[in-house]
Amino acid sequence: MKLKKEQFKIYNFFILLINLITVILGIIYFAYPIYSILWDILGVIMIIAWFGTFVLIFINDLILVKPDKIGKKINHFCYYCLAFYVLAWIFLLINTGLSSIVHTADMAMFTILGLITYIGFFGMALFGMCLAYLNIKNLENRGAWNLE
Amino acid sequence: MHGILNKLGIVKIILAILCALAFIIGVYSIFQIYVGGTDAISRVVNWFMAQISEFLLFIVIAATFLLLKLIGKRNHPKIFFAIMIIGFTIAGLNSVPLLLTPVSISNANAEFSAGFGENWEITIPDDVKSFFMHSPFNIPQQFLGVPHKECQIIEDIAYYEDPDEEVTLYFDVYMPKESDENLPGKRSTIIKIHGGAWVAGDKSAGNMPVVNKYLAAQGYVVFDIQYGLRDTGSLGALAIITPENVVGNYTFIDMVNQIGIFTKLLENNYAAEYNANLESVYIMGNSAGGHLTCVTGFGYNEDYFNGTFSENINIKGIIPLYPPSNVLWAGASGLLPGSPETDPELFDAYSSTAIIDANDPPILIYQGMSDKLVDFSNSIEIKNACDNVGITCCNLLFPLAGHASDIFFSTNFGQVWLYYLERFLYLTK
Repeated sequence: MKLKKEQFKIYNFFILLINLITVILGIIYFAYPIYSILWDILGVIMIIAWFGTFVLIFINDLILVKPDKIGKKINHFCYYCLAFYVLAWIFLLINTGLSSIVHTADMAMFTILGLITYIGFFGMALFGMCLAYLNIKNLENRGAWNLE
Repeated sequence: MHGILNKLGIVKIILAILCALAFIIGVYSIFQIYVGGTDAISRVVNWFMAQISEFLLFIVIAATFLLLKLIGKRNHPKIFFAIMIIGFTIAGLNSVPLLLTPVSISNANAEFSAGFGENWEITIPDDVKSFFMHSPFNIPQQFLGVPHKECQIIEDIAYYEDPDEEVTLYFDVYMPKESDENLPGKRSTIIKIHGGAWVAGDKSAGNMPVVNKYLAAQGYVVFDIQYGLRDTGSLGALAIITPENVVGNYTFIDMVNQIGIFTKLLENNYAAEYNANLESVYIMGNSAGGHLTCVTGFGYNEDYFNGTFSENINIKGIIPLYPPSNVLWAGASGLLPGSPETDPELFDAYSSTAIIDANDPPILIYQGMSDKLVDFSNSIEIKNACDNVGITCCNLLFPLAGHASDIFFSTNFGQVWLYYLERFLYLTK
């Protein structure tokens, strides 16, 4: 059974939107670190965004025509996306570990930890958005996709 | 063209190796969480694995998808599905410590209900709750961390000197930064004692400064103290976290005496200097510090320790994390002179379970159920001893958590612990 183009388009819009919401709520989370219900919403949305992007990459792998020029470009982007995800979680892990034990006056370390957290978290959302955007932009290129 | 293809091939091989590495780390994590080795390295690695497993979960998932892409379903369908099953199994098993968070919360709720009554939560006013964590766990904190709270910190104040051992002991004090009248802490005093098997460790970076800052921002005055450690010659990797100025030929007797000296100085000098409330004092420490916390807290009103501590501070709670319940083995390591057979009174005095009595204050314990250094039966023994004499003991047990599993402040274990810690402090102050 082949995936319908419209279904794939809607899913890409969903991934674009949910990653965009992750970025917006993430900015609020970092800018106003006082608990609000938005934290719980962000928690659910970021998990959906991460898993949703994984699924999108998996679907891409199944339906992309890789010998095609566009298909090859998007396929390579999927590799970058997954490699960055691995790196991003290593960044988030480093922040979680070190921020608990870092010395109180070590501002340089705090800055570095903050930076790698922003890069890791927002980077993942941006990669997800870029992938969805690339898919939508090139969806009309019929040679690149194996769609119904 | 051929060169580019070769390059692409090399990149794919490197990616495949990195993915395989992620799988190996994921499997090693599963082994440490569910089984755990008995060698020295495994015991230390066990501290971290359950705390980082939720990150490994996502790393392994990403690595699985990468490998699946590299292999290709059409080229090698059997390997493709095998990788998929292996990858998701590793990821799934690494997710269990996180998925068991509701069990930890349920355990803690049951302990608080038993200790403070079924309606304990509604006895905390809303304006106080506004300073507390709103839920025992939330996902953004888990993955993005928690910003350090603002507070006033004064570091490296000397309180004890031993010229014979060339030892000088210091403490740090963490205080609320601004007006603290409305803060829940009301300048109650917390004395924090670090861990490190009585031979290593330090205040500050070695004693979770982020928690000290969090509590100070809630209105508590936190004294993070050093005590004299036993010189064992070589500390190996632990030397990194152990300053030279604290290592001497010390025993439990000396360590508790030094803490006693600190309590006297607190009464005579520091309480006034730092505006600390001595009517409401808590002793808190982890691992070896948890043991010293219990000896100090339970021993405070024991005849055996007459004259050791200040008599004018009012201990409202004892908060040990993964504390050893008895030290009957301490003679062999030189931490106590003699043996339990030759001097039973001495060994009893330094064993928590032997000195618990009905006059002791409430106690809150943190204990990982997969702790390979201090088995969770230790905390059960303390809990049973408390139940026998009728004092409140909330023993917070965390499934699959190892030793020092609260060390990553913002992970699921740390979050649940902090949620109940701040409430315990309020309910007992």
